[in-house]
Amino acid sequence: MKSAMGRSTDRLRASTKEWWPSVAFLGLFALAVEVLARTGSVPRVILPPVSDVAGSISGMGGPFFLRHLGMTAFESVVGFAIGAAAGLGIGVMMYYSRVLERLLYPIVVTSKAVPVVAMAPLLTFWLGYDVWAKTLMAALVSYFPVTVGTVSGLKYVDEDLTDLVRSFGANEWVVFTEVRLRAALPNVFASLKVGSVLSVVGSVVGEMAGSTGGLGYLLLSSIYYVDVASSAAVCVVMAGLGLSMFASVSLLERKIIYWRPGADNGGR
Amino acid sequence: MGARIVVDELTVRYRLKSGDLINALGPISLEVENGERVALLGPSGCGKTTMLKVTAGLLRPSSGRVLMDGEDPSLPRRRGEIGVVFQKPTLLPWRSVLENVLLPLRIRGDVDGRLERMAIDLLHAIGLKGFERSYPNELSIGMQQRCALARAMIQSPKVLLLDEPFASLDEMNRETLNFDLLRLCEPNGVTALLITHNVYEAVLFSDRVIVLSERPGRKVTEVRVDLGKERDPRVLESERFYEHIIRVRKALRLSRLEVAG
Ligand SMILES: Nc1ncnc2c1ncn2[C@@H]1O[C@H](COP(=O)(O)OP(=O)(O)OP(=O)(O)O)[C@@H](O)[C@H]1O
Ligand SMILES: [Mg+2]
Repeated sequence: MKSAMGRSTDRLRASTKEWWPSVAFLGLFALAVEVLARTGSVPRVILPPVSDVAGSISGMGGPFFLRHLGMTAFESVVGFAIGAAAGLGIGVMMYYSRVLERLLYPIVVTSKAVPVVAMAPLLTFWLGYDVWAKTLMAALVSYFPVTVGTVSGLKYVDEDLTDLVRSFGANEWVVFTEVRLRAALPNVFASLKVGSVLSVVGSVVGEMAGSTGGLGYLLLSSIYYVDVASSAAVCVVMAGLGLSMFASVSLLERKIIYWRPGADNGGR
Repeated sequence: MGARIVVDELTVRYRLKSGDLINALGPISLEVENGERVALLGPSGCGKTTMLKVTAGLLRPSSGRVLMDGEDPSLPRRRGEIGVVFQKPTLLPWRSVLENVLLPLRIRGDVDGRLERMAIDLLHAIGLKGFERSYPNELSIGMQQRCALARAMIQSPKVLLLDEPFASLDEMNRETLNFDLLRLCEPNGVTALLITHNVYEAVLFSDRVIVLSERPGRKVTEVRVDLGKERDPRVLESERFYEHIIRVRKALRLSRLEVAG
């Protein structure tokens, strides 16, 4: 029996092993940029050295910056939650009702065919410059993959499992909660992960279309002042936000799909 | 306590993706007496699983009907009187072994300590002691199929429907499980239908072996098995056992000739 501590260091070691090539690659890339910028081969205004970017990230602890980060985080998280709930709901409805599927499917696909970038100014015009237009943007970009993932997850459930539970006298509600929903979870989570990252894209695009704050707004204003180091720093923070949302969903996945083989050992 | 099963002029057709109809089974008629154990022997694809699903009340017949003590099988199914073991171990991966066995009881109501005790005893009887808290993916296929069998028995069903439950197991495992199965069936007087490809298994388990034709499966012939109700491993060393094997093999061969001619 291994202690929980021992297991988590094992996991850390395993993920270090897994990630070192990409970490090394990024490190080399950063070093190259640093050298190019410091030697003056490329002007600093155009390509800021990585240390400047890092400096401007560490200078971001202030309340001014945190307000912007908080705004984007709020829009992304709330938007994603709305999008995920809508995606799940629409997915379940489309699975269970042919009529609703016929009604909703074209609408869902069409809504996705309108580029998000084009929707941003419209939504801002309708909903104003505060967080709600961006929250809706985040919801709109993240609900689509969740809908698709939910429908396909529900569709490809082993029908022997549903038959079996019916053979115990279960009604369709029990079949849904006990089998179909749980069997669909791996697919649903795959789509949630995609949606979680996309939601940050949605809110940032919204902010760039007109806003009083947020990381997208911060990015535009640093570009306006030709402060490339700060712009790059904002991009890094956006990526960090997207990654942490992805990581949170993955963590939730591990907790919820506890029965997955190798859920505790990386599947090895 | 079992139930009497009557299969009356049953046929099942499936609609394929291409839109064509395929005759999967029948017309077939047969009767299984209360407490009788019957083995169904037939070539792959002849409609055995299809027939089992109709008998379990999970699939509507295209014509004809199945009655269980005079009722449509969906009624005893809802009362939890039918135990089913499918061709592959269909355990719910998110439930532990014990919880899988308790599942039929949970669906039908509350589970008290006594029922839980019963499930644990059943698991011990079938060789899964110490695995109560394991998850299905931590078990071998044979162990999973044992668990599925325990689950089919937990409600003390009147009717037990077994679809090649041990087909994916090695010979040794298969033999022990066959005797475990017999031990579980005997005291209850359950009516049982065992689908199998294996002549030995068919004779060992049943009071009667029914031979089916190629798809769409019809009853070709049947062989009575007079080995008594109680059977232990010594049966396998008796001449009478092999006489029955030979009789079933002959019936199989003749059925093929009959179908070909
Ligand atoms: N859901 C389905 N849709 C269409 N055709 C089906 C379906 N299920 C079975 N069939 C067809 O019906 C026939 C009988 O299938 P069934 O599964 O009952 O055979 P089986 O006797 O159990 O075979 P095996 O011994 O290989 O398990 C097969 O020929 C198959 O092609
Ligand atoms: Mg079959």
